[in-house]
Amino acid sequence: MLARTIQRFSAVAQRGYAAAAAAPVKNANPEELRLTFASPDTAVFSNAVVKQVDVPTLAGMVGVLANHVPTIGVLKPGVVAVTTNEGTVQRLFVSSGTLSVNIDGSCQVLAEEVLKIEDIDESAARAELESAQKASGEGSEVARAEAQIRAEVAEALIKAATNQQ
Amino acid sequence: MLRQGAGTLQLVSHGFVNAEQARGFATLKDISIRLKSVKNIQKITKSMKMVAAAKYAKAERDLKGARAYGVGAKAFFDNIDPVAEDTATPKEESKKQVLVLITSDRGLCGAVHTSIVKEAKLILNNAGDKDIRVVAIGDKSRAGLQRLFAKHLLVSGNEIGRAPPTFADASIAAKAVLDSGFDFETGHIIFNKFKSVVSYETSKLPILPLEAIKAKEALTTYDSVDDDVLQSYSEYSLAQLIYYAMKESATSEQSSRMTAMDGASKNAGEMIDKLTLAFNRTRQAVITRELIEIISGAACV
Repeated sequence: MLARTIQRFSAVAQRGYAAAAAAPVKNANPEELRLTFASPDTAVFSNAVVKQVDVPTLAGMVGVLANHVPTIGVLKPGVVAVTTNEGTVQRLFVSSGTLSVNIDGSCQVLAEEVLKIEDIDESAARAELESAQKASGEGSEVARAEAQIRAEVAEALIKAATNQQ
Repeated sequence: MLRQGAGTLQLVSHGFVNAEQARGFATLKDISIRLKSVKNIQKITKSMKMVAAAKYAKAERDLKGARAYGVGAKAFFDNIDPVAEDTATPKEESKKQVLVLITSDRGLCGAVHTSIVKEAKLILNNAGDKDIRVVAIGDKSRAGLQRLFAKHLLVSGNEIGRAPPTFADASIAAKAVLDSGFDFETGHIIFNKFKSVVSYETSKLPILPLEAIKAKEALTTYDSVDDDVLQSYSEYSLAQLIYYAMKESATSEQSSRMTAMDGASKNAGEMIDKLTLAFNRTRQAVITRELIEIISGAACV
């Protein structure tokens, strides 16, 4: 708590300098990676300082450390691994969403669904994959595309569940 | 002048009161009927308050997560468009704007919906030559604007407010905004930002379509941005922002409903006290009158 307030104070001080440099930096220390990792109803990390985040995006796996160049991306189904400053790794499954690494050094991973890996029901995922694969061959173009996405998610779920064991 | 305008109406009610008085003051029966109906109203408002309190507790719990989500979604836009935060009026050049009003279908919740509609009306009245269209989410905002600004309504949606808003709702709204065929240059989401149980703040959240994001200078500092990613990102962001605004608005609404229903229950309580007093007095008067009749009858004999 105390550390946080100190950080905020330093943010205020820095804003003064930043305004002179006309940079949009408004948060503290750019040497730190501040992560917001949330699903619509829960925040796993909210502006917390972490060491590293590995995020699956459409352009491939992206590893984000402090001082990363600003970027944006779209998540694809897979496992987000967060390495905290203590070195523990937290792995969570995400379905889809956005990634943004900003000029002020903050990083947002906003997913549509976040799931703990141990909560994945592998057999349900397999059943889902089967039905999605069946559906992907028929129906309108939109329905086929939807089924393909479902299949992709189910595949990623199975992969995430089996890697863990 | 004003009195004359409402003259006929007053006369009618006067006549009614006179007729009542000619029959004598309110009978016991009248008062007890009234008392019973007010008691029933109080029961209803009390239970509505309880329901709102339960829904509010849930909404506030949800809001904690949603707020992190919304602030995160906003961060990118704050970064590429640092001016938007300081001054809310750099939008002189943008002719085509869209306003997304986040309300619900349900009333009896104080002024939450009215304040949003008021804000929208203010913007629409000062529009000048700008083309401003409105996306009304919830029946209340549509009803509020229909009479005067019907031609500004772009899309309206209802069936929101019974259950807490979900991301799916927000996605539908975002899709409707994008598919509306109106290529806006800037936009705002107007919603009620929840502050505490007794207060909320009607605020605006800027939204930028794909073209406007591309035009931002700060975007060049971002690495590996291609059109495909940017399009997905901007569409997704819109849904995220709408979701966040919906959550804030829903929480404000429930808390406001709680306060409104609390006030209504208190007022009903006051009425019940007054009516009970009137009832007891009347009853006593009836007893006294009957006694007098008996005694004076006996005295005559």
